[in-house]
Amino acid sequence: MCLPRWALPLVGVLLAAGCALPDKLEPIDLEAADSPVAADFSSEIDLLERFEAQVEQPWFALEQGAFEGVDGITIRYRVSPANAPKGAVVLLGGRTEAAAKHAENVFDLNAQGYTVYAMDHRGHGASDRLFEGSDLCHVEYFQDYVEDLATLMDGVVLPAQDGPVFVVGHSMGASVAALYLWQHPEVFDGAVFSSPMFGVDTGAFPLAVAQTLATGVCSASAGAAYTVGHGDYDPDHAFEDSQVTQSQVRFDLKKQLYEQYPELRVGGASWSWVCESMWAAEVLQRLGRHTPTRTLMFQVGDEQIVLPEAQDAWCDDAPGCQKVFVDGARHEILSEADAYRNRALALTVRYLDALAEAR
Amino acid sequence: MSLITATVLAAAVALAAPDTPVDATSAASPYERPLPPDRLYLAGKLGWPQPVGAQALLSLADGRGSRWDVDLLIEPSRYQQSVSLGGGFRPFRAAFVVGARARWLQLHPPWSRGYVGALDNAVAVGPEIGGRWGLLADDKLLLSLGLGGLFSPWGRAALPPMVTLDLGVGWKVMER
Repeated sequence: MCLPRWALPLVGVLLAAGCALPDKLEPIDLEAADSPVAADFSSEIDLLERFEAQVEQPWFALEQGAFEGVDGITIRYRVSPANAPKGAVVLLGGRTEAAAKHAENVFDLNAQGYTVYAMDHRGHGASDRLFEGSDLCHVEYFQDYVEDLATLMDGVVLPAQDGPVFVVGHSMGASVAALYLWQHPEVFDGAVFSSPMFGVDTGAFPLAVAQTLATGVCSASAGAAYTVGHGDYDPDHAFEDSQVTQSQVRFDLKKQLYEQYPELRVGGASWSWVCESMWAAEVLQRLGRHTPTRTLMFQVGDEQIVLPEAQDAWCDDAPGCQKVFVDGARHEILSEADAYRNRALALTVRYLDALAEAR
Repeated sequence: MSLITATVLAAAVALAAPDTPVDATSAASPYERPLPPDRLYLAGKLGWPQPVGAQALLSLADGRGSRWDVDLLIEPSRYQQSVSLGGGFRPFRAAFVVGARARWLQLHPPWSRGYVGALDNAVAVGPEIGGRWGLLADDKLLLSLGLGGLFSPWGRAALPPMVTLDLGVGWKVMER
């Protein structure tokens, strides 16, 4: 028996103790015969040649909408409609990612029958920066990301959609989505998380040192400076140093995008972003068991950015979560080499199809 | 009265009242200090990760000159503010103190936009060691230095451990 939601403020972290886990939902069969196959998706083999005509230009031709987010920040999004849609997908990228970077994924989901709303988080992509002209990836409160998503849902997506609505979140976008799912469990019909940031990898710093250092800075200041080891966007970042993808062509196209549209790029994280992401990671560990939404979670075998054990903890607790482990893939599985990306997309579509049919 | 008579009378008085209590203070060895009294200090502190704090510290003396300190510490902050109850033991008039602290943490303060009531309250505990030195006459001033740890030992509660460092200055406001 778990504590009721109203009791959470009273007991804080104590709620995790002595609370039985809810029963797991029956997992969805992802290996059905009618699942999409590799040929149904964009391939890196000829991507470079057709990128401008088939991905870049159509992306920037899409309708761009905007709304006022928390604290007056303008949030921008693009809508890519599908023909005879089976449902709608809200796509949320990770830290530093512009929605434009996911254009290839957006069109692949369109082709599978899903209208896609791709939102740029505050301080990311086409949305307003918190400090004009700065590459700093900054946020005052992580909850601001969640409130912006709530505004998109209430003001844009839900009024336009009668059918099933899903969220696909990558890394930080998955954390935002997971918090939203807890706060608004009735809105989404399902979720897909790619390498969710449920625990921040503090690298060479032991977690206790990183937490102590960051908390001190954020306690005493606004934390609006680059954290240790971070700086402006690095245009010379080499593919050989990439920790997130093994696809050279997708890595090069990302760099090309940010060279052509420098207003979309984002650099290193601020202290406040680190503190707030740690906050999100901390609280999400308590919320898995309180999140009933059906969720497919991709965990990669060569993860160097976030903590897989935190993903396991959340997914083990969440009654609707089923995990797919993709051995050998790196953090950005939706921008990975075809072998990994195709599998992730095929399972995603199969999962969404099954939920859409069951609705 | 002669000197002899006076001496005899004094001896008689002494013999007539052999059980008269002896003043403990005057009977003490001149090498021992008197037992210190209980004291209440109000203090301010600077530290890490919570940068500032206000503290009320009650220092109780026992019969062997050791001190048991109990304090209430409030550390307002824009991120992870804390109200905590601490206990410390200073053995045998030493400055060295060992103790523990229980904290109620608010990860965001309630007046901030980022506050989510259901998520932002947490409980943590941790050990502390350090020194507390009484300065000026009758230890009017209390200088303290502390190193501590902060843990949330409830499984998935998942507050990462932290290290705390504090420098405090207190002023004695009551003594008995």
